[in-house]
Amino acid sequence: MIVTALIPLFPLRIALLEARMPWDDPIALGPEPGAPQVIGPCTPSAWGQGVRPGFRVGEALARCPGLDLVMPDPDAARSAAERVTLRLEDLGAAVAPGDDGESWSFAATGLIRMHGGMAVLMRRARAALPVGAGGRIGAAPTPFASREAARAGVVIHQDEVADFLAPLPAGRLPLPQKSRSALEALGIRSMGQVAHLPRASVLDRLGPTGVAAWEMTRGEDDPRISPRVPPQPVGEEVSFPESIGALPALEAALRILIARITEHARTQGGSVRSIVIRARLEDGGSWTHAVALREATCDPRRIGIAALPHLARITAPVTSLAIEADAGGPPDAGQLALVSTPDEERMRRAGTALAQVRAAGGAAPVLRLVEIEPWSRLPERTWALGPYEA
Amino acid sequence: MEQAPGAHVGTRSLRGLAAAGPVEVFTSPDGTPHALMRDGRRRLVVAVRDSWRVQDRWWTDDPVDRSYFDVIVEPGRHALIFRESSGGWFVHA
Repeated sequence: MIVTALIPLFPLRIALLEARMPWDDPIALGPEPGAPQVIGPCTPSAWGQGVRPGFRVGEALARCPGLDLVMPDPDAARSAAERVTLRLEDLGAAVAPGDDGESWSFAATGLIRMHGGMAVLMRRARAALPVGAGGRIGAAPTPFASREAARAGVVIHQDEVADFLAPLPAGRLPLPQKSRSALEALGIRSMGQVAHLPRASVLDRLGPTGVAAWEMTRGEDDPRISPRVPPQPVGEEVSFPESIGALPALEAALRILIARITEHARTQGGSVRSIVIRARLEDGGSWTHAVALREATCDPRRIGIAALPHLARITAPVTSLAIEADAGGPPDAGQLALVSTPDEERMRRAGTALAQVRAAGGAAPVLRLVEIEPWSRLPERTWALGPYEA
Repeated sequence: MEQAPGAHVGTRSLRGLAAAGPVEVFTSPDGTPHALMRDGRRRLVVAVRDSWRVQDRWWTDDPVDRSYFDVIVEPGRHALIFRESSGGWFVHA
């Protein structure tokens, strides 16, 4: 049995909370800076006035002149989702967070006896969700049915899956838009109608994704989920005296942060498996990007190669930059070279010299000059001093 | 931000260079600096090497409108001073 916790429109709720805007007003999640001018999820009030996610901003405002747009805050949404995941993991569950950022699933096997029954487990899972966020809990034998059960807040058993899913709209199936349009054109509106189609016909018309959806409607999809490996988070943050838009300055700041987290990871006896870069933007929004490393490492240079190019995607001046890493990698990650290159030898010697200077005079004597806005006509915005990391 | 036990969170700030601090400046009738207080002493302005106006960041809530003077003061030291549109004088470190 798979239990799913669902908080509909969770990223929108978090953005409204951050912006202190009311849930009852017609509000939609606006486009991210630099992204296509289409709106995201909207409040029930906006939905009632004809606004739908995916509308262009102009079309949405034409349909609902009183519509407000709230700036997405992916950083806050991610943090809030992480808190929910941690609370569910506190129940002993191996949680698989959904890609949509609003659902969390875990297998109930082994937890039912530990918690004294399914009803108790469901109650405790519900208690783990944030109060007042409209969270729902459901359970079913397969991941897709479990998510639909969570929408309805019910527990579905194996022999009830097909009957439960049958009246639900086929538009909820995880299909590409083209396949959905094909189903609509064929007059197929419910999951029950999909379930009654011959498998060969589905494969012929909709391909392998169509067959996967067909199996879901019959409760025959793979009942396994892929829970995450609980991370061992390390984090560092740098704040700027003035907001910064220059890429070299951001790169310098990120290099400092990467050096810090690799130190932390090494101290914890692990190595960095993945990082999340977060930037707080001058206009009040945020930008966040996750980078999964090909292999766990404690080498700042290799992490930098993977992380630094993503900074070019930040669309507004940054007031603070943060990095979070999962330091759950093995301690001996990364194969060591037998012979150091001359560059590595020079860096090693420079690092030793730096350590000696710091031992004598503290961290302050060795600083790095960082270009902030070389084009600025204001001297105080042109350069800054930051910690030097060898 | 909630962190798991054992998590490290730190904050490191960049320190800006050439930060501006207030300075007392004595001006001529035409508004150019005549003398300024440095190290608790009144220093005469020997030469004004250059002057220019900077209007910047007008698109923000904190616009900048400064009249800059690149001056040499006794006994031959260089100083970059400016007058804010609000009237205060400042010197860059």
